[in-house]
Amino acid sequence: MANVKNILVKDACIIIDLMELDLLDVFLSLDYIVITSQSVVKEITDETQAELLANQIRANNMQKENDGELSDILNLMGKYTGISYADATVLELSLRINATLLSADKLLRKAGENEGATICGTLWVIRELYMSEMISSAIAITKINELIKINTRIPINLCKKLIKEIEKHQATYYINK
Amino acid sequence: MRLDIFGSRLRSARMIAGLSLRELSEKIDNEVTKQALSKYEKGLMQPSSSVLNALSDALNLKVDFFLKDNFVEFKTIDFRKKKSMTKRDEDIILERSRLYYENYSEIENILGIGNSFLNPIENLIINSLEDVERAADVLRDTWGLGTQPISNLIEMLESVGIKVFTIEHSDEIDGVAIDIEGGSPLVIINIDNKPLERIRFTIIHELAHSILKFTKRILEDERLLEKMCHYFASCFLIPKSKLIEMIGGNKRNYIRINELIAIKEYFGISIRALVYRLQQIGIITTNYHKRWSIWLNKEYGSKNEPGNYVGVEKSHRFMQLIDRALSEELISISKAASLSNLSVSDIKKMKPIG
Repeated sequence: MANVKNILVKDACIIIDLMELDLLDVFLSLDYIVITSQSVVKEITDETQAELLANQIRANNMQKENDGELSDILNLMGKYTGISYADATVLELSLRINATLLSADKLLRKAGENEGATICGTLWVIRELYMSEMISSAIAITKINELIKINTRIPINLCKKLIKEIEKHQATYYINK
Repeated sequence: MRLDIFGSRLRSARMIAGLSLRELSEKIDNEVTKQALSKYEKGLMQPSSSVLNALSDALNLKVDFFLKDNFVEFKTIDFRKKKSMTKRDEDIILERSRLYYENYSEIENILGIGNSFLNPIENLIINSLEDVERAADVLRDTWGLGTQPISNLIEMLESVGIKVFTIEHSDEIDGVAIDIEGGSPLVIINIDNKPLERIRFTIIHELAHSILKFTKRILEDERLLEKMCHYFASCFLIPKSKLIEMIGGNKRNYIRINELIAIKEYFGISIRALVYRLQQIGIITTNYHKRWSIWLNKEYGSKNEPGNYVGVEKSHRFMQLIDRALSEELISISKAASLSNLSVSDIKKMKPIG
């Protein structure tokens, strides 16, 4: 497991995933500093979701950072031509403050890995919530199955693997109890 | 970052928004002075990310728009519009089309697909209606279309490398044909409140302006040029051999409206275009054509006619390329949203290929 100090909620993708799974509130209550960039916030265009995000930022549950130096952002965009400006802003931010990049986008994750950043995704969040006992195993499994439906690009094998891990953990938990 | 390109983009975005330098400066709460904005537009200064964000908000465009390096130069623009159309409206259409073309080219480049177009009738010099008819036949033949109706013209044209951008604008414009330096032609079509057969006709009419090589005599006579392009549209939509097969090859003194409705509904071409064509190929007389035109106008008005062509004119290619690039992990979801002018949510909802 990554040694997570800060988490950058990158992409609109993971923010949207967590909102659609109704897990953003509970995730933000975990002991992490969650930051995103100004440009990513602008990518949340659905009115309800944008309002929800604005509330979290107003309540200081999540921080919105100004985009970094344009030259650094452009440098990343030049290196990884398949990412957007908003993607590059969170990648630059995560590298600058040496924080974990939380992303649900395969290409951005690859770029982050290539730059030596620690990367986590939506499944990591669900696992973390379960391990922190913020959600039950049943809810965790339900959310993973919901995730498969709402995020059509999520690797199914990783989802199944996590479900098995949670089931196994739960069984061990009861045996030990 | 190409400062000159950024400058051009900022200027065109400001023009589209209809703002002066001072008004734009005020819109971003004077975060940037009018003088600084002028320097940006002249390519003399690089903006910071916060300025870029402010400009993007004020001009309602994504930051990625200002950073694109592949600025497409329009070589020739054949605008067919009414005099009442303003320069600003014209600029808006052109800049939106340029952005579409650039995004389209970018996704093609990312996928390694060429953006060149080979004109099969490049060497055919057009000096008469017979030449036009031949050009239409050659084109149909080269593109493997046979003599059957073309169900989705836009999709078909995009499959041979011609880009078609649809707009919804007032009645002041029908279409525009644009030649691109080193790229495939771009046809812009106004689809607002227009019957499908008229849209189809306009698409091919605009295409004619772009790909037919006319003699000087025709190019210097605007009315004749328009007539030639009209005729090309008619010939391309329904080949002569097919029309004769359906209407008979002999001279006709009388044609029933239902005969023409059947052809219209099968080939997606207007009755007016059909009647004109029948006169041109000598099936009906000039006098009978005139009587038909008068009758149609009297019965249905100058813009309407009987029959209802049912079809679809829409290209899926651009979004298919976006989806393919996503599936091959060549672009991120956010980049896909930026290129297709959709939201990240919209792209997330797209089901991947396979």
